[in-house]
Amino acid sequence: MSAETVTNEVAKGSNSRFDYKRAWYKLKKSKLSLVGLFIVVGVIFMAIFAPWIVPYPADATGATIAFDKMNQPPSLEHFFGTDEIGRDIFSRVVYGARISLMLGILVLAIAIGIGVPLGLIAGIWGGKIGALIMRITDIFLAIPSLVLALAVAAILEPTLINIMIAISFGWWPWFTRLVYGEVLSLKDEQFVLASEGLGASKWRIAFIEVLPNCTSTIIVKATLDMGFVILTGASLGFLGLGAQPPTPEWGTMIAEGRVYLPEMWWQATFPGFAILVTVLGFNLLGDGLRDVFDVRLDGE
Amino acid sequence: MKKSWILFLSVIMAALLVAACSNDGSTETSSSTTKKDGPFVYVAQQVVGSIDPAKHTDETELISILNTYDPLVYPKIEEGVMDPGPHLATDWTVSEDGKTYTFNLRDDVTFQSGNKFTANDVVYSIQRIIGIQQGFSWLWKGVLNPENVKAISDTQVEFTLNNAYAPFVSTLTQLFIVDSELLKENSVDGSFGEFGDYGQAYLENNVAGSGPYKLTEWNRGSHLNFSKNDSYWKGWKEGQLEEVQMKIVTEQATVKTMLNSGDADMVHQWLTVEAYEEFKKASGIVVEEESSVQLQHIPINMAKAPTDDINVRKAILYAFDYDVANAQILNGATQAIGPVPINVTGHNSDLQPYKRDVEKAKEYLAKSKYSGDELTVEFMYLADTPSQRQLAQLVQNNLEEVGFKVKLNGVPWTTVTETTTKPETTPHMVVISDTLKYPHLDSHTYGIYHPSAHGSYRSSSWYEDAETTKLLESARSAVDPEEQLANYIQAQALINENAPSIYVANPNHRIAYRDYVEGYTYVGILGYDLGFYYLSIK
Repeated sequence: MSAETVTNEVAKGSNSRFDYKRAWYKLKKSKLSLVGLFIVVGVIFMAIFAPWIVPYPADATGATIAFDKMNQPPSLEHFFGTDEIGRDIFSRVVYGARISLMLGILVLAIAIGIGVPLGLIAGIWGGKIGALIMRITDIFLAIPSLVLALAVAAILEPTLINIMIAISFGWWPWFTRLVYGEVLSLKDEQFVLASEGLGASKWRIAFIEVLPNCTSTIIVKATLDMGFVILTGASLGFLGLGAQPPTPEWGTMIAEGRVYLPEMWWQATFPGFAILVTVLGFNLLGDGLRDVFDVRLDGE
Repeated sequence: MKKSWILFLSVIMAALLVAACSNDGSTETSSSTTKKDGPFVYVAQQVVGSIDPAKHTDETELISILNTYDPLVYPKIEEGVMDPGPHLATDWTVSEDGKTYTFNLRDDVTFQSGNKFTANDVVYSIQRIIGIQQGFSWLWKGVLNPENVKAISDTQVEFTLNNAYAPFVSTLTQLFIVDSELLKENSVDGSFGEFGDYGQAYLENNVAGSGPYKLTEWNRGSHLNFSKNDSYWKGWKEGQLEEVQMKIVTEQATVKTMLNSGDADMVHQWLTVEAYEEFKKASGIVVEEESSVQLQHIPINMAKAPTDDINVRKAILYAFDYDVANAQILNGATQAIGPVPINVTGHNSDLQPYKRDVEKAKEYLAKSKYSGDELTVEFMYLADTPSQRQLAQLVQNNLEEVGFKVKLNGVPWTTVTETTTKPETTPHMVVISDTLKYPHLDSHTYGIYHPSAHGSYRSSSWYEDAETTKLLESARSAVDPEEQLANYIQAQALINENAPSIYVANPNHRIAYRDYVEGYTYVGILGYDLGFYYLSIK
């Protein structure tokens, strides 16, 4: 961790501009990154335009029941078949993208909101405050995030918001660690020393000088994490700690569909496939972005 | 890094392809109709917590106990009825005031330890269960004081009850006789004076019974192995099961595969309706389906606003769609009429079942003292049980149509038992499946609606009505059978009128086994269909 070296072109001076053409060129070079980008754009598109895409929007939004057509296999009428209540699984999977994306974005927003400032403070101020923050971070990092999220989720009432809180609880330390490492290596750069010499306050150095130079690392980390947060959210949903019915959450859908395996395979398979594709998409894109920004993350 | 992604993707794709293809082939393997070598395998749905006959509460515990111990009376399995018949007791007499029961006992029974069974064992067993105060001890709480059980001779025992108690002989199906000499030898210090710990520590891992099987291995969380007790007093015939394994498998897909492939010979009754439908189509598998004496209902909390108002409860009862629930969710179940299952002797057949009537529901809601308020009710159900999930969403849909807001809360079973101990924490509605606890309608009247039952999941409606209480008490203590029945009938009518619960169904009981298994009989008492002694292999 301490040996983390960042050779970041963008980081060399806070006023250097980002070269979009070059970035696109680099991203294009890797086919898999493009696949990732394509998937991510697709999932976001699905999430935004769900009400216009799906054939049965009511099946995914309200307490709809249609017991006369329950457990039907995939057909032209129902692309992914129907579930135990007769709802269209395709509609629910598409709407599920909204839940998962919202979960991912909000969790990361909270994690970044807490983790990044703490990392900056620990890095710039150092000393006892820094040590205290980093030791607390270490304690959190020692517990696997899924286990921590499980514990928190079990205490709170099972709702989507609480699930987000539970996951964020175990996610912010990663950003603290990451930013802390970045700060340590940027701290002795000329532009930081210069502003120090000019009498800038520590707050200014942290948030105006150093933070912009960490953004690319944070973006790459966030993109890579997006997949894992969605996966964690789905795992909690699978264990019954997430969104409650009738919310179309992918993990919950798998949990409900799994008793019907293997004969009625469509009930668990399609939401599972949605998770697989989405997580894969964010990972591939994250990999690509890492090459673009030329960032090295912890442990890779 | 990139290559590993491609590899990962291709593995996933290949796995999906294999899964999709193998789907069609799953029924082909089920054509064998001879038993595989090895023990008879029964697949159970949940882990066995205790094998102590003073502590058992649920089906799997009861199965492991009734196969290793004997009760005084046993449901008349051979005649296909649930009424208690002679077992360790050969016959019994009741005094005129209905308080004193005298049982004559068999003199040819020995325990698995070799000790002879005598009246002293009966006395010890009942004192033990009442003393430990767990499991089914509530059946005799306040009815029987332990010191009033006396051994008159080695083969005669006398119970003197505090007052007449109509279902007494029926409740003895939950009194399993333990080997008192063995337990006295193996008792350690405890809170029961001369009895030490009543052998509780010993019975955590050992059996002290006279039953048809010995417990040869118990791997908690995985399986129990039974093998036949050669000196069982009922004797053994050709074809009976000599080695039995009760295997605990919680994943339904695995259970289905096991029965299809013949790795299991019989599977439990708690699979989804769809699973039994699939079994029916497979060759070599028999699905036993009959109307049950179970009550599936949705108790409504009467001690909490807004469901403390009878008009709100009636609105709920009229909003619920009984036909969808019974025809589609429970796949052909009979609608329950009142708290007592229809097939139980003494069911009040004059009761009018509630039917869905949205207009009527709205009328009742308008009449209630909460009319005009936004009413939110919490609905609790077992998240892992598909039919309960389906019921939950049906209720949500039905009630929203009338103007309620329904908050669904899918939970594990332990949450249900915990929250229903206090009226404040009990949800407004909760799905409960309640099988007769002893072969008498008292189980579903007094056992649910008498205030003494409060605090158990069974009485989640916190029903309290002075008139009903009085009726139930006089029914229990009535000596004249006709007067007794009249009281029970009247109590049912009163309960039904007070709308403490959505009486959904008396669902069908289903169980599946390979076609070489013979002798399976379901009489309605939980667990008693799985006395392995009564099964045989063709």
